[in-house]
Amino acid sequence: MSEIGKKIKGLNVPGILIGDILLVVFFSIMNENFFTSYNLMLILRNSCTLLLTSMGLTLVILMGKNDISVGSVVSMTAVIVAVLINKGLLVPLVLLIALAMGAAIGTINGILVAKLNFDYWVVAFSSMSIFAGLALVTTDGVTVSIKSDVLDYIGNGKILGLYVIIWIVILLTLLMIFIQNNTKFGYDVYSIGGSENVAKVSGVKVVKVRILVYMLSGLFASIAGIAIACMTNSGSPSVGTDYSFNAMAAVVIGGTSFAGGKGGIQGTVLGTLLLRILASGLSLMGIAATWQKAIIGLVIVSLIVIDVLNENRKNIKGLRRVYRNVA
Amino acid sequence: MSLKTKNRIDLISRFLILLVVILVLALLQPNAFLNASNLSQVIFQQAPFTILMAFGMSLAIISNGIDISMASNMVLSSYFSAPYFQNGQYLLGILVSLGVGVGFGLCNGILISKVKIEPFIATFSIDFVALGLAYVACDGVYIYGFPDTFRSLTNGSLIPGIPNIALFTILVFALLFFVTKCTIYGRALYTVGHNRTAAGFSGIRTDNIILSVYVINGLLASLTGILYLSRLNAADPTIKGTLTIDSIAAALIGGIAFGGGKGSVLNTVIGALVIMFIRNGMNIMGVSTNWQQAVVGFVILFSIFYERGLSILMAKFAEKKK
Amino acid sequence: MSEVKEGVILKMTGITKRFPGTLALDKIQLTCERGKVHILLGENGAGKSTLVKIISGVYRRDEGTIWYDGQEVNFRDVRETMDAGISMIHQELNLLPDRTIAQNIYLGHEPMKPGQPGVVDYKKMVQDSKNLMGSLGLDMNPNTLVKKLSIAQMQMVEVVKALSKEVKLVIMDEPTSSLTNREITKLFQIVEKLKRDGVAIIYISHRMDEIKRIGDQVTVMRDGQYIDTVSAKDVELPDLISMMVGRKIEKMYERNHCQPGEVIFETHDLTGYRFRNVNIKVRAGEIVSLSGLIGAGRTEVAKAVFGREPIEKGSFTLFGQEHKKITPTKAIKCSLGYLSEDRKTEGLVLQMPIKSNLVLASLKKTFKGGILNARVEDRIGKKYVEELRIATPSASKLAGELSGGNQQKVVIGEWLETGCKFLIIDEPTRGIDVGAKSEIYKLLDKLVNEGYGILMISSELNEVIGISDRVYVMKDGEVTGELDRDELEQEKIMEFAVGGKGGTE
Repeated sequence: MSEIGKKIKGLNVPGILIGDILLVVFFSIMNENFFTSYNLMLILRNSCTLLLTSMGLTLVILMGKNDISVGSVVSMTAVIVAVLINKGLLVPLVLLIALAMGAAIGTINGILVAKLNFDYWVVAFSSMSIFAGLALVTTDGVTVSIKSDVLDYIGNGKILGLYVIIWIVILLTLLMIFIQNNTKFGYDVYSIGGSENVAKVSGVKVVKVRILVYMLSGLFASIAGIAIACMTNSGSPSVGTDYSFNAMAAVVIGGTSFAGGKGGIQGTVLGTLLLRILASGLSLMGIAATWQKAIIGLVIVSLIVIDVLNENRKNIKGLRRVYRNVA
Repeated sequence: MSLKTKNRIDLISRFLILLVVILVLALLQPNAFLNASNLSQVIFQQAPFTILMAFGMSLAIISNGIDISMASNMVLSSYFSAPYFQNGQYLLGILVSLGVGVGFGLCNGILISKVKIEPFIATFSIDFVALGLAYVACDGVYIYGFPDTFRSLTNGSLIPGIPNIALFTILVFALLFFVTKCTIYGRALYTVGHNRTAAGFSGIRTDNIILSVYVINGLLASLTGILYLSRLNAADPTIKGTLTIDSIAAALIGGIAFGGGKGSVLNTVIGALVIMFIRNGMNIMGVSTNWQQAVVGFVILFSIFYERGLSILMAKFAEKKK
Repeated sequence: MSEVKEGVILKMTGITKRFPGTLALDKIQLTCERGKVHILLGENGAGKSTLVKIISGVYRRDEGTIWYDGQEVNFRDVRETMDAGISMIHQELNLLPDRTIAQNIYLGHEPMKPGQPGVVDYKKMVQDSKNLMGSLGLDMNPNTLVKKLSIAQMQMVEVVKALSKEVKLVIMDEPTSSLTNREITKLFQIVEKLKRDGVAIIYISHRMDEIKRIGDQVTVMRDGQYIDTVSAKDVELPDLISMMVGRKIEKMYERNHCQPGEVIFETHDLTGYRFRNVNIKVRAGEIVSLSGLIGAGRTEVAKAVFGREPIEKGSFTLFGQEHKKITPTKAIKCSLGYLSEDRKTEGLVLQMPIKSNLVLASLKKTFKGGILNARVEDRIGKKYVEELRIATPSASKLAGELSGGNQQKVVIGEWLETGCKFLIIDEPTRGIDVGAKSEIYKLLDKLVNEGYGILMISSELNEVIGISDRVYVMKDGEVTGELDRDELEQEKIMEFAVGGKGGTE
């Protein structure tokens, strides 16, 4: 095998990358408006908020847990930003409050799951409904529009032909990939996901790392909420409703296994793109929004099934190999 | 402490929660809450739907799973079967409703028991698909207006004083209680919930038990769907409302605990009444529905703390007895 | 406070540990010297693991004092003992299959890049792993994923992992239980090297031959009690055994061998994921053992026959009926019973009453028409509590509240109730105290004399030799030998299990 071939194989995300490319090719053939710089930019732009949400969630799933409250945190943050800006607070202060809130929600979830050992589904589910409700309460269920040049610039301004928000997301993604792959914290996340027990007897501070990961999940969900507020110049209490499911889907499609310890943010980037390419292609082909939701839902379910089946197959293969591969 | 005493203490303590809720509401709103027509409205007219759905949720949680998709399944099956009921083709309507309900239940069951996807993820995904399909099928067209015979399914009273809907619920309760507590199927269900591996090693067909739970949930969803149509006189995807979260809250506050094998459908009825009274109380006091969602979320959170506290207390008591 | 002698790295006195309902350790003492191998000897359940877990910081003691490296210490968690230079090689593998060898070796104490806090230096990690493995005489690529290694190689990575930081005291918990001869030799070379470097070693083992080979001192424990500490060079093995068991060994394993009947179970080239071409048979009235190292594929054969692991090729005959595919439900119908090695997760439902566990495998048979009957259940519960002498005030107590030996009796009762005639018993006495052990053996003996056939899987050679009529030995998924009752010797079994004296690979 050539050097480059080996490197590509070493990346360990081939399936999803091929999926992305095939979809792009397919939609480019089906519709001439798909492969245009305008549309591609749109896809990137639409990927931003979902990617932000899924990035924190990736670490949670990598660690063998799950956090479906992220969607509610997205809504909650978008609403809080809108309300506070309209109250006349300074932009940096508003952003700080919003981020702190996201991190705080994440930390509480983390403490409930890691320290008090509650079932993570119940914890996530209750905080999902609590904050979905509070988001509705905050604006009484209506969408609040914002007028702020700074936020508008973050959401809709451009630098060197690319939207500011895309630049921000690229930087944050690179930072997170670095943290995931090269820091002690990242190593600990993989260790805990691989086996909590092994991590424990090897001296990894499991509880601390878990809480930190949940905090990051909340933090990134709130960054996504801010981004949505900036891009739409408004805060809507239901804007994050589908984000929990879609983010989970992006992570799993990207190759991070629910079992934990395997995968990473690189895959999530591609998974997010796949979802957004699919959405864009389907709209361009004139398929109704209601259908899109159903189709995307079906695609996601089948991909999750394939992921699990594939995992089982690999495990069996692994077992065989271990026992045949006698030194 | 034997299992029986433990369960009994647990049930009694849940009953106390119900009493406390009723007491607090009675004190806060003596007139509006504590009158016969309001109470019978809540117990006989509103609670049955939540109770029926919470039964399914309870079975799933007892088997150490969860079923997020029931409410969407209910919506989808009721929407697909609505036209037939409207035209008086009752048998066909029931068949379509069962087909959709049991079909999606089967999907859940296969994904969970055979493909071995985590129940939450499987049913969460199926929920997305089912609701998506419901919106596709509906496409903004609401079906309303059903024949009187169909409407009497819920409005009428075969036994004077008890609306049919309540009668249905009592029947389902009796059946489920008998099946879960007095048959070997029920024993197998609890065993699987406690320890799926050990159950498998004892020759219990664990996959089939788990599959059956989700099929039963499909059945319950389809039944609830039909009753809902009759009751609301309309079919549209928004009727899903808060049923999912209410039924989870009902099961948990009633004492069906995550981790499996704990509680019974009697706990569920108590839990569902707690939730419905809380909602009713908030409605009377003019609390917005927005707040209610958050409150139910807090109830779920409270219930897991309550569960933990209770088990710590019981363990301490057992230690002392020694 | 007593003075700590020169050269002593660890001194423990009066160590007591209680778990709910049991006294796991009762005033244990232990003294380890630098550059010496201290062997910890005792039967299963003697408290060895609890003791080393206290040393390594997994558990905390209730009473007693520990001096370590010249001062009194009070470690709170694993992290602290690791930082103090105590390292542990666990019996079960503590590795992450999806990470590389290097990542596993430095798990929890990854080297950092200088000047960049929190950033791991992977290059240094790989280089250090390579050097470390080289110095220990191992040749593996540090970038290989651990899941691609063999069990024995994984065990060696575990050893390297324990030595990857500065250590003063290494605890080895049965490190040879899944190693072949070649690796055992290598491990003992490593032990010698550690001794030369002045590292103290606590070595837990079941295998008598290892005591003379590497041991300096031996501390014997029994039922959570300290028995004695002796010099490994001077002590005679039979004395050690009687110290361990606390009575004459012949009395422990009492057998009334009977004339075996016809063949009730036979496999024909049975092949699964972790075993291949297995041909064994069991006759009625026989206890046949399946012996071998941990990971040799014994449990997997048993689970495949019971329908809990897939069969890829071959078949087996059970009471004259040939099966290529089977499920537990069908196996039970065919009069097969299976007692798992992991009683707590695979055998019993701990949160359910004893009586409910007793009828678990025979629900359909016991409750005609599918309706539960509390009276019948109570009657069965009472019957087995009396018959098997299960120590409990009532059959309504939860199974989780019983001791290990009584739990095992409940599982045996569960299978007797199904009316099965052939039992597969995996590690029948794991985690069971000595008194209950001989009771279990007597029970097994009684059963075969009543015409049952028993296939026993055991890692305890004494047990295998003590009660078997015949023994098959497995190595790396294949049956490598068959021994009759009169040929049974530790050395012969080990020879088949680890692959010849010189290590034929």
